Amino acid sequence: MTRAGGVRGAALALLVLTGFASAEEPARLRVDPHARSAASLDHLPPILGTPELRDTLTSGLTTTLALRLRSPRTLLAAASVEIRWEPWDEVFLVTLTDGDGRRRETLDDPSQLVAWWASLRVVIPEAGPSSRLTEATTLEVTVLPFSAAEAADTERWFSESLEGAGRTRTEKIGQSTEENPSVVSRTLGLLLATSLERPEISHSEHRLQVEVASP
Amino acid sequence: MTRRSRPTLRTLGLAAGLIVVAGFLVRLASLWPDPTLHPEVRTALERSLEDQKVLARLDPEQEARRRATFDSTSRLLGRIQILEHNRDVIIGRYRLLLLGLASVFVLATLVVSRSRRRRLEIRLERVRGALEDLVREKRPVGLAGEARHRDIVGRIARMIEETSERVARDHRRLASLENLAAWQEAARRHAHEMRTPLTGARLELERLRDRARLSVLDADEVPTVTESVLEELDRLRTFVEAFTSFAKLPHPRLRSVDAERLLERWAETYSEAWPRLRLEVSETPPEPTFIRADPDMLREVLVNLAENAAEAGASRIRLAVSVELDTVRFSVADDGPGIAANVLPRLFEPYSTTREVGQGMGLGLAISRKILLDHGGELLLARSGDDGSVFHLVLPSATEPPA
Repeated sequence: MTRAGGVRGAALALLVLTGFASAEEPARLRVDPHARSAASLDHLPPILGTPELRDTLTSGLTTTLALRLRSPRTLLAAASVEIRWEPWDEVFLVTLTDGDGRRRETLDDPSQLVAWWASLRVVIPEAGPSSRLTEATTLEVTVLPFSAAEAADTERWFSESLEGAGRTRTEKIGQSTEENPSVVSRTLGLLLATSLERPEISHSEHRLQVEVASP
Repeated sequence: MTRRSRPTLRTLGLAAGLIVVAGFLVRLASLWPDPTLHPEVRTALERSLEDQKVLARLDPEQEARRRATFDSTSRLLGRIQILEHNRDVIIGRYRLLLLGLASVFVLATLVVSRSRRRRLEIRLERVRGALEDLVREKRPVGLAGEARHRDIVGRIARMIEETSERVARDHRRLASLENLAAWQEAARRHAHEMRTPLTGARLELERLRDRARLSVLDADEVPTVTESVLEELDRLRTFVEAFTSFAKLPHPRLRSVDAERLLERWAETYSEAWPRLRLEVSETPPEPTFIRADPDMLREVLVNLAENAAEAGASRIRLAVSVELDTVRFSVADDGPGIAANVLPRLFEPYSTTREVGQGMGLGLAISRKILLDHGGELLLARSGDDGSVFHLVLPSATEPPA
């Protein structure tokens, strides 16, 4: 299967699989303030098959899903999920960064990805007696089309490309060449390439059901 | 088109030009990202990715190399996708950069243009000042700082310098010629004044000699001839004395003099000096008026003016005294035919006369003016016409009465 065919197949699979998901249930936050243990977030909304995410997830770039727990006015906790389609091996590489650190997995196909997402349990740290997690009411999910590292890499590459247009070469017999970007091209690179933005693909807010463990 | 509308049209034109340039720059800003991010570029890269995978399957020994190429191409594709996400941001920054550069360029051009215009105004002002000096003083003007420039202002400056040299040269030449002409005229009059009596005396003596040689000299002829020779010598002496009086004009011995009394006594003394000329003192100030003057020299001036009036055919001279601030003015008005227009410009210059050569040196008014100048005053021709001429003798007043 060609890459293009593989990508299209994965995207279609995501559409189909997430389409079978039941009507959205609220995400669930389990908190035990007395035990000083981590809270957990599961039942994440089935958003992988949405039109915005379908193409992004199979682009080859690292799609970043930023998860935020909010009370009406306050950000209470955050975690992130990175999903990258590896085009050579045609697998999904997923990375969860939460209260437990960073965990990576390799998923062979879209169905595994959907299943993984559906069963995902995000660890929320610091759920002690002073925690305000019990006030959480909303789960925000922001989807970014590429990671910060990829943005930084592209900035560097773009800047070097602009500097390369104004480079002068000094070459002598028997010596290596030197490439010196001119001040103008260096300045141009700095102005145009600095801080490439990571636009939001989508931003959604979901109801949150908080379960507080009884003492 | 009014002056007011011209700047407005120019401003509108400039604004329109800037809008066109801005629009061009805005369009230019998207020219390079669009080809870079063209879908065909992505298609070509994706095809390259597929080709690497196919090649890897066909030649497993090269899989690592194919994988490396695949990863590199995949990274490039990813970077292009990221740039696509930021296309509008990059184009916007590019537009800002181009517009900023264009604005800086326009601003710098305006500043440079304004500065050049100001410098040009200063240079033109300098050249204009030199031109005014040339017109006013007729001497060479220097514009070395401007003349070395090769532009139009520099050329104008060089022309002004060259013209000023020519004008100054012509002015000097004219002054020399006028001076020479005056000296020539003086020499001509001097020669004639001297030649006439000398020739007359010589003729008489030659005639006497010839008659003595012929022994036909009559005893009565010697006194006659002697008398003639003495008359010619007297004439010569008169000329020398007149010339000497001008050359050796003494300084006035100033003292306080009653102006009205001086005038009245002079009119009385000279009432019969010119038979056909009547002297009248018509106006005097109500209060005694004193001047600082040399009475003898002032009388000489009054005699000269009356002499000229009598020779011109005047029948009456009216004398008046008036006071103006710190000066006293003597007015001498005759009823003669007036002064010829061609004489007026040089009326007070030496050897300026309407008389024929041999009938006067033309020194009278020059001497009179010198006398008044030496008094700290002035001799002026107030008016001259068909009904006569009026001269003013202006003298400084004195505060103390005569001793």
